[in-house]
Amino acid sequence: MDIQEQYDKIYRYCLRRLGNSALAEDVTQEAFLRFFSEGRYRERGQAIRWLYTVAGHLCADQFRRPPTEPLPEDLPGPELPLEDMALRAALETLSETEQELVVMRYVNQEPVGVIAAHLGMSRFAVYRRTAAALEKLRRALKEDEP
Amino acid sequence: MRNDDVIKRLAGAFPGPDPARKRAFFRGLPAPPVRHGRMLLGQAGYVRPVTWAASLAVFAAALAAGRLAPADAVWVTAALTPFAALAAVAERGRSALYGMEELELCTRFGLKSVMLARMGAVGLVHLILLAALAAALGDGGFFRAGAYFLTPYLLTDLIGLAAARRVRGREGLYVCAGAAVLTAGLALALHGVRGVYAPESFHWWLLALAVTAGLAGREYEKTIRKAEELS
Repeated sequence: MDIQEQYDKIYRYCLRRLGNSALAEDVTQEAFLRFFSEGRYRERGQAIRWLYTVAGHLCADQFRRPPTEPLPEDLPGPELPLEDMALRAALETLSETEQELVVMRYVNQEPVGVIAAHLGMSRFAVYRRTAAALEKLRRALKEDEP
Repeated sequence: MRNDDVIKRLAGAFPGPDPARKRAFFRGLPAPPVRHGRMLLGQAGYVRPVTWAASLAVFAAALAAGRLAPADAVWVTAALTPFAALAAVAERGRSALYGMEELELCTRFGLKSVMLARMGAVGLVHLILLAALAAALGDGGFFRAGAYFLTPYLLTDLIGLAAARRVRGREGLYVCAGAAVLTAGLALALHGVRGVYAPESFHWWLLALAVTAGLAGREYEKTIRKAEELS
């Protein structure tokens, strides 16, 4: 298992859910610290699934927690080109599960088996719903285009 | 716009984490602990093939002796085991022989852990081989044959360890080789003494085994303590 690669995947997953790069990085690091402290690095096949689950819970905790200070809209992070920002905005028009499917499948390039296990769906459902979500995203983007 | 274009754009819309923060995070992580069994197996891989070959050669020679001259197999094997012990002692002193102790002190697994793991791996294999030989050549007396084989092995081991602590480098290895030859010679000479390998003398062998095992244990302890002092 390439732990550095998994780190990037978990970060992107958290970034999609939290929308803030600094927060996403904090949550990613917290997930990895828990991963290492539990000695999970030995379970090669299951590691990424475990990481997604823990990162998902940590992201949910961020929403539950009362904010101690207001988060700036855009903390220092890479500047996104306009068209990427439009894509992110179009992605937000999809349902939560559809967004998760699209990011895991096309951004993180996870195998269908991993996504199916993480979201508790059949492989067939993952194929079908990912294709539908992509089509929806394409249409949303087309509507935005002048 | 096609679906393929959307997929291509998706990767760009989610850039990776800040490389500096990621690097700092991984650098700050403690090294994951390693289980004893895994450490033993890992370090066994670094034992030189010549050490394993020497151990197997002793095993094969003893088996050949058992086939060619079954009546003499026990004392011939007793005379061969010091050479297996020599291979083990040479393996232990490898860091000192090549002046690598300093370097091994700053590696992830310290000199003491590495030495313990390699001593454990070689010792375990030798014990299994000697037990197999005792079962194959012991002619019904497994424990007796075990005592005949282990005593010269441990005697060489303790002389070798004591020598390796006092004489450094290649000279230490020569002293160990000399000890192995002397012990083998002693085992051969004892064959000439009437009744030494007879069942009636077994209690003397047990006593010799207990003494050599005790002294070898002390030498192991001193060797490990020396490695601790270095670290």
